[in-house]
Amino acid sequence: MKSSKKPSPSRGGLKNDAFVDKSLITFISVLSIIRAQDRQDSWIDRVNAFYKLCCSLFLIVLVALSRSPYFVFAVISVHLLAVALLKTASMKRVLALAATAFGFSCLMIAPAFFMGKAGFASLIPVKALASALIAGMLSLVKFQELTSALKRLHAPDFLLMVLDLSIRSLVMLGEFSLETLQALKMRRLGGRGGGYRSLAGVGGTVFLKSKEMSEEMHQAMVCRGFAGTYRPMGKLGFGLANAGWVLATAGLAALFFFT
Amino acid sequence: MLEMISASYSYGGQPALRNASLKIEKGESVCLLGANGSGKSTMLKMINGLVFPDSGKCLFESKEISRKSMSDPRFAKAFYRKMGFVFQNVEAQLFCADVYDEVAFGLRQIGFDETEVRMKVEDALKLTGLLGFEKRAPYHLSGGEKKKVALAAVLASDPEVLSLDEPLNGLDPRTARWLCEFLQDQNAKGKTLIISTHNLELVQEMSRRAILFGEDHTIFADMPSMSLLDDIDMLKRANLVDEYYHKHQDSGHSHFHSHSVSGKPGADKG
Repeated sequence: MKSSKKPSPSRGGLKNDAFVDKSLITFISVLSIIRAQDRQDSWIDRVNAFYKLCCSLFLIVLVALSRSPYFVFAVISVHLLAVALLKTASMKRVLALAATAFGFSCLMIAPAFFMGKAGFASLIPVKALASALIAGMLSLVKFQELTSALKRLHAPDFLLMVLDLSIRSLVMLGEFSLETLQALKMRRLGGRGGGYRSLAGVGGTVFLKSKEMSEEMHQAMVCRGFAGTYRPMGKLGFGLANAGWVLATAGLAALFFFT
Repeated sequence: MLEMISASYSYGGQPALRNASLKIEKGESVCLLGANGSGKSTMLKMINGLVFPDSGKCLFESKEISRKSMSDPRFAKAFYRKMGFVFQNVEAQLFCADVYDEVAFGLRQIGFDETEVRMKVEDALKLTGLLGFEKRAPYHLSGGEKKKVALAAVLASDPEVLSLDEPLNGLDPRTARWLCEFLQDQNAKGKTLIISTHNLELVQEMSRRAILFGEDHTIFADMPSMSLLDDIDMLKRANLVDEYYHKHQDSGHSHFHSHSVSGKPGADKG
């Protein structure tokens, strides 16, 4: 009589499979965030990245310098209002970032607070919340627009090129890693052991692939006359959305100086 | 226009091209034909000034393409204005954030002002049927669209020589047909075409002249495409076709199954 025993995956095998699954999910989520950037079409996209970047940097400096809770709360209120107008997914992202920053800074000053020596330090979590909201709104800017904005701020060409190429390579290598991990998962069939070692192999392959890709990309750039000057461009208009964004920042700045 | 004199090249001691000599005239359409790893891509890279011969010479309009000459930015710029290269892996060729910037990259490097850049980009996008794709990220496009963007990026600067490495790789039949017709049209307009391929049908359609590479990385034959495609023995010796390759009237093909009469499903009479 033939044995009809099914090969059951060992506990180690399941554990390693879970590890591969987790890596797959991480890759998919990072790739989907980058992809989602191309599909954004909320009101905030109408504001030019250059104005967003300048206003955000300016406000972060003001928040850091401010000793007035009125100003910081005003910044938070204005940004919460802006967040409320976002799409749900973007809203969740910004609020999650802000809540994490707020929670973490609360934890940091908790000892001082319990010992009754908080003083001005009690403003730190609120400032962290304000800064995280500003940064969160800035994080909604498409990567490619951000590099154009940095170019206008006279950031070095080399830095911009590295930024642009990194984002692109992240997608390509991410997709490559995803395929390799999927192949690894299919070939493992829940078998035992070697999960971490296989994953290191995937890492090695991705590294070699990235070297090959960067060489080819450099050759492609040379073929199109690349001689070290990198010029991402884009129009810098001043429409209604830009004007609104700059005016709101100017209003907050006025509040900083008068409180 | 282009000349190679006994050019050899090796990657880390591994020969990739041996003693290659050829001449390509302006307006010609030439196919570099050979099995995988026979040296076609290396020759294309050499023609495009991306690798330089270990021995021998590579000349473009009677000027030597060498490490020294290409380190002169003025010479390199003038050279790359006349040359256009579409890589086998187009993914590597698309490095800008959106299609518009991708096509504009070469033009901006040449030094055109933004108005001219916009005009030329629009022309190139129109030519390749990509109007409306300006704001799309190249890495989100399909394989065929990526190939079209790569072509548009190269054509925007109106090069005299168009070289393509395995242009039909990964393309569906419809896009492949479009690309063939597009390249024929470009050749008819006076552009010199150099195509590296192992696709015999493409050679038959695209070029009057074919250069066959042997497995020893040498040029095995340089002759009219039709004569080369008729010489099945030579193609076999270059390890490009196997014993199942045969011709029906004008076109050669091979099946994915043996022609031995076995009575089993899949066997046929050719």
